[in-house]
Amino acid sequence: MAHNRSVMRPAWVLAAIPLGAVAALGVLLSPLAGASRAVAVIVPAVLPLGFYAAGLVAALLVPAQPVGHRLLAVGTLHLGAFALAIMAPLLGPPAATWLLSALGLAAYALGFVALFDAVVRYPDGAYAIAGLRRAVPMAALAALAAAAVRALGSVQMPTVLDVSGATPNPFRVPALEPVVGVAGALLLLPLIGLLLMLVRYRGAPADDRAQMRWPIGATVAVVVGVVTTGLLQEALGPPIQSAIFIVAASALPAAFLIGLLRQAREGDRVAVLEAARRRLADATVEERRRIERDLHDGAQQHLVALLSRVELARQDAQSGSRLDLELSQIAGSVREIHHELRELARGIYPAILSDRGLGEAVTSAVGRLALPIHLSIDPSVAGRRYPPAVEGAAYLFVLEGLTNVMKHSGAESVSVSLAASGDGLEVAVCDDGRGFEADALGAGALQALRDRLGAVGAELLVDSGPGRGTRLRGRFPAAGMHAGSVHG
Amino acid sequence: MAKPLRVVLAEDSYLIREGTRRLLESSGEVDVVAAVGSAEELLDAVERLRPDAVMTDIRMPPGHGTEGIEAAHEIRRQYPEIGVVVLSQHADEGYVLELLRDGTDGYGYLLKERVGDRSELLRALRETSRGGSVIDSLLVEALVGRRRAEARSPLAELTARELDVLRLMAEGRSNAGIAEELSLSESSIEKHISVIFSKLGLSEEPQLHRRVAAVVTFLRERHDGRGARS
Repeated sequence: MAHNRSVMRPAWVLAAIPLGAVAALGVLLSPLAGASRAVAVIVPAVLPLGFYAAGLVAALLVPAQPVGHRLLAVGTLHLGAFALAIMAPLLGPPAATWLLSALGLAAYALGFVALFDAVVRYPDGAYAIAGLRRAVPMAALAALAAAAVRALGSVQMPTVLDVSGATPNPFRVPALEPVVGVAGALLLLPLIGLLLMLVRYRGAPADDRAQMRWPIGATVAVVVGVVTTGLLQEALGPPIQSAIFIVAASALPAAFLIGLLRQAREGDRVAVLEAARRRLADATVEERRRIERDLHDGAQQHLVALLSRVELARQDAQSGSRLDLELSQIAGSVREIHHELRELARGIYPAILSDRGLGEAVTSAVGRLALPIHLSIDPSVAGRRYPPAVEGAAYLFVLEGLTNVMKHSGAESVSVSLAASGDGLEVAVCDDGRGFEADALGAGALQALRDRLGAVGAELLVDSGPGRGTRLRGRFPAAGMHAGSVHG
Repeated sequence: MAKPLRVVLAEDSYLIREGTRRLLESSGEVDVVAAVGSAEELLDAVERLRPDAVMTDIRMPPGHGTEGIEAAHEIRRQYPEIGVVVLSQHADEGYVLELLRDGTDGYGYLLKERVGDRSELLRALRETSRGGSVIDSLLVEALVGRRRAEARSPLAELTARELDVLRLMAEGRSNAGIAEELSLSESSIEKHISVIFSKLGLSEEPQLHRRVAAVVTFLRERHDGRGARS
């Protein structure tokens, strides 16, 4: 649920909201002040305005979403760049004009980097491709360098928005002139981001895919729209062309926003399911423990009492008589039933797991098998108690893993390990048996094991192949260690 | 016949408590001076009556966990002359090791179904009241199995016959008892025992309970984490 997300808006987001609003007002009102021509300013401003609006809504409705923050940054930086470009020519000294223009170029360039960051982190805010986290700061440096090249290399006064007539660049460095065009490559950044999204799309979970379809679809629509209007340029005329551009351009930030909001709603739904699943897992374990207790306090106790009565009755029977023999056979049967009942209770939920914890319960279970098993338990795990649902799932994972080994593997060497991994727990059952092709097994083969772990938020990792044994690992995240531990 | 043993019985199930009480008293060897239903009442009765031995359930109100083991430790700490036999439904050696965590003298651990075996109950009470220790044979087997599963355990070097002898020793049998059980002469049992001790690197002690102590101390070595865990 939204209030569970601990990350809130960073301070820069709160600063970007008023900054972007001021820049937007400045840009929109500049034609009234006679500082620019309306069409030359308003049409290009539609896209950054769209991003600003989308980012603002996202910052208000899904405040912890970093993608929303980036959308806001895109809008604010580009609106700021336009505002600077409009203000620059109003200043007298060419050096001051140049400085504001250069700042505008820098803000404009950084806007593309922010858009790139938003696209590659969309929709859940995490970098889906390793290494991109480091690529973004480098892209920002490159963007600033490109802005500097353009500021120094242009023949005319550099600007992101042509609002006044051309004036010469006071700080021109002619040597840079041939590479000024390279600065245009910045536009490629968002496109690269979109391409990466297309690449990710195939492997993404269904939920993420649904959200990815929004910006991908919008981009396709925008591209198709731009190409079509380009072809029909003559017939449509500039006003209609502008109108089409405005509609198409606002579709892109809107698509991002819709995706983010849907993602958040999906997240809430998942959180509710998650909580229900945990409660269910806790209840299941509690139910098993209750049945075990009932068996112990009920049927098992009665049988023990019965044993004492039979033994008492034998006192009155002549030793070696038929009655004595009969009573001793009855006692034997009762003992057998008692034994079976004890094993049944253990199978449901071993008392030693409640009383002495996972390490001791696994040690006991392993010692009872005919198979020689190499057992290793981290000292930190051996002395530790976990929530009952985690202990139950980990214990049954080991037992089922060992059952699989005995049934299928033909292994000579088997090992079980309980290891701490960070604050979490990793339980492994490994053998050197015949192994299997993971794909050759039906999806259902390990499903019971996977479900058992999944119910407490743990993950099953299977590593096997023909002739190289099998390694089953259950990884219990630290997050599950505290939730729902109502039974101390 | 010697003076009957004075015993306090603790068991929360009325049926078992009364059954056990009648069983013990009908032998004429035991005088059940109190039969109670919780660990708290048990400690109270022990303080008042100073019995020779105590027989207690492992799982009692209010927690239904291992109250019997905690009470046993408390009693042995305060009154080292009182033997304590814990009756348990649990055939897990972890509970035995918990009971014997501070030493083996005067402690017994029997499975609940021994309630139907009067001679076994009486033997355990007598043995622990003398400072000896008695472990249910099923559990001794589990302990030996557990130790043998360790890759580098010296127990792996024992022959099947020597393991039989060790098991019976751990149950608190005398040499004569072991000889009878295995249909061997006492002198050959003595030979087996000296081989076992030399293989396990333990020095021989004359008293019966010392031998159990040695065996169980050895068995729990790994459990305490002193042994290699490779």
